[in-house]
Amino acid sequence: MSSGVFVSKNGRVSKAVGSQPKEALLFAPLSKNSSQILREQRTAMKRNNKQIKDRFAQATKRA
Amino acid sequence: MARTKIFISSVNEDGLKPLRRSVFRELESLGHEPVMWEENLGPWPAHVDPVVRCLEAVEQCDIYLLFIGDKAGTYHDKASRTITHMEFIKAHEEEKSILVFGDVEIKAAFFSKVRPLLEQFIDGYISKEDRFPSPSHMMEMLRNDDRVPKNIDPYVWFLLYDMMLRKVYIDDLSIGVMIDWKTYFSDLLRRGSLLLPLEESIEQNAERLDQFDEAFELLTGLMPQLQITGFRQAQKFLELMISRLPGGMIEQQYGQYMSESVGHYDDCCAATLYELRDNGLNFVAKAGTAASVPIFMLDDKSSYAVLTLELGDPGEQVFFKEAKNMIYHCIRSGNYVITLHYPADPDWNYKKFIHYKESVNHAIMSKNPLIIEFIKLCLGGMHP
Repeated sequence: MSSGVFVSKNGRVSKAVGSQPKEALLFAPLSKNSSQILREQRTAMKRNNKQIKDRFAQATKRA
Repeated sequence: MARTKIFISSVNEDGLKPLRRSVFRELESLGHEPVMWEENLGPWPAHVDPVVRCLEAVEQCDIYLLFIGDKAGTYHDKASRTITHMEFIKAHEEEKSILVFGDVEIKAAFFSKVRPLLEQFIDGYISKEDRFPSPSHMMEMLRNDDRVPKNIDPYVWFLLYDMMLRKVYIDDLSIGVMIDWKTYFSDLLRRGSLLLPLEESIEQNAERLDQFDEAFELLTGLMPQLQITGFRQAQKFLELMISRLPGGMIEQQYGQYMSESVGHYDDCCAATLYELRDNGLNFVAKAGTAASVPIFMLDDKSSYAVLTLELGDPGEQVFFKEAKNMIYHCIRSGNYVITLHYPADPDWNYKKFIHYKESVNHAIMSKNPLIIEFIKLCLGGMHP
């Protein structure tokens, strides 16, 4: 499905153009699903964790 | 014993030269290891890119120290940033301790005159173009506006604005007035001393987090190897789930650092579960105040559950209905479609949804992805 906003009205789906009734069901294609977002969040968490460990190692190192 | 390496950055302008020199000497006399271009960083052989060398030096430092006067320094066309700005960005990205001192008069002009003008310009640009203006757009506006002091390089305002967005505090710099470095570094020592004794607790937490992540990784591998034959109490399953799905803010992001809150949505208030069987989506269970029908025919395009089913397995979609003032997060996994109901704040209507569609999708999808993934694993493993 291409980008933009779609609407389901009277049992038909079309591009949402112009004013829409309150009962219209609107949706826009997702750029990422929750699995992709979770993967990104886990990667960021691992990076942060590693950085915390590295920083403490540097901070407590005696030259 | 290792000494604190302090990168001294600033435009190499005449007004700041004596200050840079005296700061270098004083930091050295205090036992630190200052690094500064004209003292101990350059010059380099012809084949060495000076920008790369400066950025490497920033990367190797413990503290990044920047003085801001009325000159912006050398502008690098390809990066659309000055070299000093690139050094600052590097220090910020590397999460260094950053100390910034800005000329008091320039700071005062920025916060009283220039910042309001910039924000007004940015707001207008965003509502017209639906994106954040580029640095060149901002500087062009600053150059052409008579209310902006003309004796300051326009890039300096852009640099200060970037620092403000990144929430970097800018200390006062009065030319001719010495900075009390002993007090300054004593305060840094105090802050570090509060955190260093927590090393063991913080490292333990980091280890536990790694273990939880490993366990989740294993779970995502194990679950598809199971054949789950059905629900004991489907309604209880939904009730437990919705109690763990909080609402949140809906934010429009403009670039990496700038965001604007455009609304909020409440905690998940209801959920429905349908199963693909006998050429229809059959009602299984609901929790909360959701309406339900016994079956949706597969050609019923008014149903968000049917529309989500059509996306394939697994599939997800976010819907909005103004009449109910509700945001629906539909998830298909295996033969099931689950719908989570989130009340939108009363300001939401179809126009606002169309305008902020990506922000709504992102707010819903990124809030609880771990729980959603687990729900997908459970439902996808069902083979009654």
